[in-house]
Amino acid sequence: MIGGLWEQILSGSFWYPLAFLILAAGTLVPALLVVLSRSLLHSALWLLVALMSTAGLFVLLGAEALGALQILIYCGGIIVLILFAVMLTRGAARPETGVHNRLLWWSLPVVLGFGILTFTLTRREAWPLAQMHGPADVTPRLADALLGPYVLAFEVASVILLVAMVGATVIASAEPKQ
Amino acid sequence: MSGLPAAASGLHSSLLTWWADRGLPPWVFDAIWMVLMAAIVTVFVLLTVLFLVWVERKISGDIQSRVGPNRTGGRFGLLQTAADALKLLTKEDIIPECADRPIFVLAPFLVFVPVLVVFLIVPFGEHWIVKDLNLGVLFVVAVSALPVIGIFMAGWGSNNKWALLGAVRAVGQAISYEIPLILALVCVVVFAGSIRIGDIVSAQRDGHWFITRFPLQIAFLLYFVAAMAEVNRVPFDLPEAESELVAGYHVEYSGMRFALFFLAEFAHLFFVAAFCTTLFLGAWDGPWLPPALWFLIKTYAVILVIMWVRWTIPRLRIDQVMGFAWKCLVPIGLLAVLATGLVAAVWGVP
Repeated sequence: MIGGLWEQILSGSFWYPLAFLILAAGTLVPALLVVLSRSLLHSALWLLVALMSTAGLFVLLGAEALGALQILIYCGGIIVLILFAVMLTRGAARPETGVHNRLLWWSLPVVLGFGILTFTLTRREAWPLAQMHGPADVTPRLADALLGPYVLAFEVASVILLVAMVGATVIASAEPKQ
Repeated sequence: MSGLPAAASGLHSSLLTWWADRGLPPWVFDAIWMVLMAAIVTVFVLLTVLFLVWVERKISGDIQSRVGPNRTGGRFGLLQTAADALKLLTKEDIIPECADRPIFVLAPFLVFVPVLVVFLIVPFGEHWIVKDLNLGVLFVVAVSALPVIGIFMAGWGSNNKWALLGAVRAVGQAISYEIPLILALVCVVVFAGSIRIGDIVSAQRDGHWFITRFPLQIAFLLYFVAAMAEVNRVPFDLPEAESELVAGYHVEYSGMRFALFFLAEFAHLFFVAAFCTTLFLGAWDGPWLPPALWFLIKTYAVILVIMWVRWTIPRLRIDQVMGFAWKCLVPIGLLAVLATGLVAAVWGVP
C-alpha cells in the first residue's frame, strides 16, 4: 500500500487527483461558507475563493482560456460588482443586519426536492471516464468557434448586454420627480 | 548576441537530461525549476523596486530643485531605500482593534501577489520569458483585475472612513480605466494577430515597432494614460490623495504590511512600463546592444516619462478623473479599435 503510494508519487500520477481534491474542496467549502457567513462582505469574499478554485479546475482540465475568462469576468467583474452593491446599500454591511431571512422552514422542502432531482438525474448516466486528453491548443479553436459558426449567437449576446447596460444607465440617471 | 538566452534554454535541457539520467522523475525537476524561476523573478522585482524608489526620489528632487536623498550610502544616497526597507521591517506591526482582522491581514497579499504573477510573461529577451503562455494578453488582463479586490479589502477591513473612501475611489478608478486599457490592447492584438506575447514581439522585429504603424499611436497614448491611472499615479492618485484622505486605503497599515502595498505599487509601475515596451516599443528588439539591455533601457525610458508627468501635472478631482475615463478615453478607444480594424481590413497587416 505504502510502496504503491510512493510509486505513484514518484511517477507524478499522484498529484493530479490531489490537485483536483484540493480544488474541489476549495470550491465546495467556501461555497457553503458563502451561505453560512454572518457578514455579507465575508460571503462575497468566500464566493471569490470558490470562483478562483473553479478557475483552477478549468486550468487543471486544460481549458486555460476558460480559466482566465472565469477570473476576469467572475472574480474581477462580478465580485467587484457585489462589493460595490454591499457598500452602496445602506445598512447592508452592519453586523446586526442579518443575512438570514425567516423562511427557514421553506428551505427544507426546496433543498430536499432539488437534491432528489439532482440525484436522480446524475444517476441516470453511467459517467464513463474518458482516457484521452483534450486538444493541445484550445485558445485558437475557441476563437475560431466564436467568430466562425457561433458568430451570430456571440453578437446577439453582445447586443443584449449592450441593451442591458444602456437600460441600467437610463434607469440610474432618471431624475426623481419633484 | 543571442548567446546568453540560448545558453539559458540549453541549460534547462541539459540539466533535465542529467536529471533523467540519474533515474529521477522529471516532474521533480520541473517543480524545482519553477520554484527557482519564481525566486529569480521575485528577487528581480524586489531589487527593481528598491532602485525605482531611489530613482523616483532623485527625479522628484531634480524637478523641484531639491537635492533628494544624498547621505545614506555615499554621495548619491544609493542606500536610502535599503535603509527605509530595514526601517519598515523593524517597525511595530499594528492592527487596529476594530479592524476586520482576517480581511485586514490578507489584503496586502492579495494586492502584491497578482502584481508579481504577471511578471511571468515579461519578455526580457528572445527566450528570456518565464512562460510564454498562449493566453498572453488575456492572462495579464485577468490577473490585473485581482488587486482591486485586495485594495477593497484593505479599505473595508481597516474600519476607517478615509481608508474606505480611498478604496472606493481606487476600485472605481481601476475598473473605469481598465476599459480603455483593454481597448488599446485589442488594437495591438488586431495587428499582431495573436494574444501570445512571443508572437506580438516577433511581429515587431527589426524596427517594425507597433508605435510606428499608423493607427496604433492612438492605442499607445490610450494605453499610456490608462496605465498611469491603473497604477494610481499623479494626476490620477486620488485613492491616496494625502491632503484629503490622509493616505487612502493603506492609512491603517504599518511596517511590513504597508511595505507590501508600497512594493506592489512600484512593481506594478515597472510592469506597466515593461508591458508598454512589449506591446508598442518592440520589446527587446534593437541594434548592437544585448536584447535584455534594450528591454531595460526602453522600460526605464517609459518609467521616467511617467515620473516626469507625476511631478509636473497637478492632481485631478475624482469626478474629473471618472469623467475623463468615460467621456473621453472610452470613445477614443472605441474609435481606435474601429480605425485599427479598418486599416487592417483595407490595407492588410504588413
